[in-house]
Amino acid sequence: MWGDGCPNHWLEQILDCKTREKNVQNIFQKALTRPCCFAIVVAHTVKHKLQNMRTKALLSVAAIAASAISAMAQTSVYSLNIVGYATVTVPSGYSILANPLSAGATNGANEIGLQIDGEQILTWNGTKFNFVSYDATLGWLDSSFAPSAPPSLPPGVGFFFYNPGAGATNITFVGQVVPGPSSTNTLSLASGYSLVGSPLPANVPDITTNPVSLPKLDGMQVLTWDNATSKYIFSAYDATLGWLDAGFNPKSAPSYSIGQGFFFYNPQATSANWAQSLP
Amino acid sequence: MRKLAAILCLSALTTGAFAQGLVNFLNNNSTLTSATINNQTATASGPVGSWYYGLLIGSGSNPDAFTFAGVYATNLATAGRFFGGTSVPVTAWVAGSTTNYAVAMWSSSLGATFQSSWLAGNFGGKTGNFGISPVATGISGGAGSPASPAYNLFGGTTGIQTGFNALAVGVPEPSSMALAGLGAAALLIFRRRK
Repeated sequence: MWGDGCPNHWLEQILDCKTREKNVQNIFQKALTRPCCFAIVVAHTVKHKLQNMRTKALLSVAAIAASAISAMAQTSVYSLNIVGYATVTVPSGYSILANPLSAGATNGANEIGLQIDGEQILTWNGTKFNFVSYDATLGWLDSSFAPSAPPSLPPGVGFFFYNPGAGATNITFVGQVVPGPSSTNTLSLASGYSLVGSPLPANVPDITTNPVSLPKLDGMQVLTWDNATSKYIFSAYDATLGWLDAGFNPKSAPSYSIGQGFFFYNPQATSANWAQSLP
Repeated sequence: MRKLAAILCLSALTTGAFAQGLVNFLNNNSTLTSATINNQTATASGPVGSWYYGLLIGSGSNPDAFTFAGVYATNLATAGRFFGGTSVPVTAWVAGSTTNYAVAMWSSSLGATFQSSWLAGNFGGKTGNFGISPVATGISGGAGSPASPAYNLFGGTTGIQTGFNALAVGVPEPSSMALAGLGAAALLIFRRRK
């Protein structure tokens, strides 16, 4: 301990001086340079060490802060993705749905929460439906009752969903909005029929308007499903005649709502692009 | 399990009810129809009912060997366009099955009802225009439950891609006119000698 062996008045002086807030260093220097004082003196270096440590600490804090800021900057890039949920009311019987949010590794029906005992999911392979059902006891089954993998239903893929219940049920989709802000996604629409949905979740009165932005092609058709009548609602676009119904009478453009799926008919011999972007 | 079996049985029954294939019998701007009259090619036009269209189905590549499917269409007021209905059932084209098909086009002067003799070039002395589109191959809609969408006869990768000509028919050819002239001359000579 410093001050051992020193006269009491020195210690009193030192302690008295120590209580002063200014010129602490000078007082210590004076006290420590007294010739008759034997003591383990560490005080005069302590302050320097403290200074060095403080400097190092400050530098460390600054470095950590810098890295944290950098990390925060990187994090802010990722935080530009929009994550949310959408609840879709599905009536009893068949409906055409489309997963509006990206979730899970494969967006499998099991990952997006589509597991109702007795449900059916029909996906379109270009010429016919692929049938998969879910049984609470047996799991996922194909049309031959053989075990099957749950169908992959990423945003953009439409599918028929059979609600086996007597009444409507709510299905909540959770995940990430595709595309993210400041990016564009392009969905390829093959020649002929495709069962699709808008990858970007949005409600619009005209399916060809932003942000859903379904391309307008002469001779194209949009088939939505009427759950009440179990029939398709036919809408065709003609460059000369505009939008037409099943009787070829003029009608307004079909609307689009979040989670809705529909058949798109591409009349061209080649595929068409469906581009969507967020500002 | 019993529930799923019931669902599948129901689906099978519903599928059976949709045994007839479904087609959309209409064209668009890229599949315009044209008529060739006196070597002049023009888009088929006129009041509704001026032109008729019929679906022919069969096998092979010769549409003259096809049979009429009983599905008609008439022209629209817009030149070159016709409409015979959406989700039209075709009895002879089983839902979900593949077949070859073509579309016949004729003027109302030949009559509203398709005659199979026309495929053999016999128009019963009537004059007008008749033509057959290129042959295409397609899979009819209506399979499964819910039903697969109706097949579009025109457009896409498998539908009819281009328009077709309705050539003038029933008009005597120059050679037959010459023969008729020779016959008339012979008759005159015979009468003079008499």
